[in-house]
Amino acid sequence: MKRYSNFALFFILLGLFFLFKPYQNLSTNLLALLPQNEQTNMLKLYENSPLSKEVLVSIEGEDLEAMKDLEKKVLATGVVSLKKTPLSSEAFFQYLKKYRFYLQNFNSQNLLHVKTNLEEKYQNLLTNPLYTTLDKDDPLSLFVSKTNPSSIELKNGHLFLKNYGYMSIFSFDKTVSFQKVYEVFAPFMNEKNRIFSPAFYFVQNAKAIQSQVNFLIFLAIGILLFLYLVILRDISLLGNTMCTLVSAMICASLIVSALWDEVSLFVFVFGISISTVAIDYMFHHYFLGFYEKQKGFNKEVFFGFLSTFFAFFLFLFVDFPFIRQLSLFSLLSLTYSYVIFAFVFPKIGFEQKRFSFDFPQIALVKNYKYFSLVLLIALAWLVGNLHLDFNIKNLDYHNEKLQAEELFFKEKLQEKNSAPFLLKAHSLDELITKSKELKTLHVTAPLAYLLDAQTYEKRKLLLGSIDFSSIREKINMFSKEIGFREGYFAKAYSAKLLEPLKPIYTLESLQDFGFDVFFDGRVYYTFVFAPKELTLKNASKIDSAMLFKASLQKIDTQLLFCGLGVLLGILGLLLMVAKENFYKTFSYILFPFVFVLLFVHNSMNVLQIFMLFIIVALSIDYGIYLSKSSLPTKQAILFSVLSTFAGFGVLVFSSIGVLFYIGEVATLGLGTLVILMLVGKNED
Amino acid sequence: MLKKIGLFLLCIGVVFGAEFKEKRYIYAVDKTLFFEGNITFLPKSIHIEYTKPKEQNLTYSSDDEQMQKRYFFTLLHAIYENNESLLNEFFQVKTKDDITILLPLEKVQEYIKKVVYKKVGNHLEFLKIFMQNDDRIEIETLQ
Repeated sequence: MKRYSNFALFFILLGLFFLFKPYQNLSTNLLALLPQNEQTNMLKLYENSPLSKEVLVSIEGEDLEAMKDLEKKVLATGVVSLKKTPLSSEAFFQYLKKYRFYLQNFNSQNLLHVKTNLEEKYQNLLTNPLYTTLDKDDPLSLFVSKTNPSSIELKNGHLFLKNYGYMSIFSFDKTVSFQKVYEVFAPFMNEKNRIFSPAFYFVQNAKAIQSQVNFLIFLAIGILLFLYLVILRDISLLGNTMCTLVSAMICASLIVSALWDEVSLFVFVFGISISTVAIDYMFHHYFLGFYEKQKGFNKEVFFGFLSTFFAFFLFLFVDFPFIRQLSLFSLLSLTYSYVIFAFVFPKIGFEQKRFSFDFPQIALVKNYKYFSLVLLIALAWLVGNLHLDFNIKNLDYHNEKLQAEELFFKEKLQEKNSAPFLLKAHSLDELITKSKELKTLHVTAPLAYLLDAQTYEKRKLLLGSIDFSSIREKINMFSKEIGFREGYFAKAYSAKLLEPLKPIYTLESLQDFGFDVFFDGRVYYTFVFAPKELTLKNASKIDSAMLFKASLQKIDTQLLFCGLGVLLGILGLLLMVAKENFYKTFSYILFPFVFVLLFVHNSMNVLQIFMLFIIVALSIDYGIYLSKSSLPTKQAILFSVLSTFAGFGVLVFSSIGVLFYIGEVATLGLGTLVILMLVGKNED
Repeated sequence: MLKKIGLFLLCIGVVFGAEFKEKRYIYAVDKTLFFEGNITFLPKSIHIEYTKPKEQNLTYSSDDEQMQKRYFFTLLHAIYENNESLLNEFFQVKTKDDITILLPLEKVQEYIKKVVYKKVGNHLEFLKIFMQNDDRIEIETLQ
């Protein structure tokens, strides 16, 4: 019965896993990593807005037929629809007509020479070969259209990307999967068509990462099978170890997902990675013969586990969902694995494989006291010059083809150096007023083309101060004299255009005009585009990388205290456990740390920091184990290093940034640990 | 070789021109104007050389700053090229024998009442544009 207790626990947990489905709480959204505050809510709004659910398509030249054909085929799928823009909106066209006297520039100079003005127009009609029409509503051309320089114009009734070709903007609903949208456009992706959507990054990158991950999984499985089946030749040990690690991960995921409604996928990925560190508890017990004979309690492994447990426990108090979730996941998973490896495995019993090979010893490091002092100085210098790169986007797979498409549209739309900013207000009118204010700062604010109550009242007052009925009389009199048809301008400057009702906007009416406006039940939002480096008083920049950094900076004191607490705790534990071998143990912790920092050229991204934590967690364990140096201990560490390399180190063969960074630090860290075992003296 | 053929075809396009007469009724002044000249269709523009009442040149293109010129270019070019999809974008198209009637849709309705033209083969015999302001433009080509 004892032999199968581990598997029994695994099946119970597996049953619970399918019963409670913790994976349903998984979120691929980067926002699930961050504390919920006003800024993250804004990013959430942006991600759910139609602006991030767009597909831009352009075909070079003036081939309207080709664009129409593409549109027809794409729309026939029912997955996407053509996005309404102010340029194509009939409702907006009627609005512009109705409020033209309020939206256009007012040229009062033309009021001074009514007769001359009309005479010029008469002559032009009769002599100009270019056919022109007279504006019966405004014969004196008092109201002049404002020029709105735009990269997109209307050509032959279709959107046209200036100096390039016809363009279409498609939108899709938030319920439609990115994969589905990608599949719709994939057949059209060729040299002739420029197609881009931010959603395509998720699909293409995931595909590229997936293909590499498959190769790396094969490599990792190959190394692990070689370790267990060729060297250790114990399939039962392999089965039980895998079963324990998976059970630990299930146990942790069940509890974490029960406590939080939304758990980032990164917590699961990183948590599972940290869980594999527990394998060294198993190897240490195994090589020291704890599974062969009943030897009792292994203090070194317990202290190794306790130090890691203590570190993650302290980080539970940091007010940052990602750190808190990851710490709890790691803590639970490591505890489960430790309990099974320390108390259940000895009951199951595994025959220990003995190796005759001796561990080579060069003993270049003779005095650990001075060595750790040198390492400490180097560490202080390296940390002092360390630049932390919190830009999550730098971790992304560099999809050059799609990046080129994104850059093409950004350049053409003159958005290359601009970023979206979220503008909010308590009413739609206030939103328009704020947009108008921003437009004066050369910010692209689409709503600025609308009329707000303040501008309406101002123009109404101005127009009310002019006697248009006498102007109309003058026009009628002069026009008859000049030769115009009698009464042709009878309806000029009508009350309909001079005194339209104050515009009342609703969310629906503005969306019908083709503007991106949202309401969260409390506040209205829209987007404006401004140079990235600009700080706007009324609008917040949407930048996920910056938000992550800003959120971390908010808790930097907490992180510092936790870090210090962990450091003091571990040092105390080392003094207690290692005693006379303190400097040697300490060197094992410092050496990989210094070496990795030296190698990453003083700049570390989030993943490298994360991996460094795992290496430090391992090196603490190894340091504690090596305080009592013996051949089985070194063998246990070597196997543990090889297992961890199979898990993380193989990622160094990946060409994808996100995977390579983990593999790079893992390989460096693990390599330095082995080097120190080779070159370090056995005793302190 | 292909380049040479291309250049040759381009030259044919460039030199292609048609003599025309235009009768323009302006409702606002209740007068009819008469023009004569040559019209040349180029791939991206239309060039008109007026010979009467006086010599003047005019070019319409799709990139013109003036919206009105741009609309005229679109209409003339679409008729000249038999670009049905473009005409269908703005008009309801009805053809009987060689005569086609274009009834404007949506925004175009604001300016144009209807367009009537007769094309025999590739030859445009006449084109009549009826404007919403009661102006009329009648163009007749002579070759």
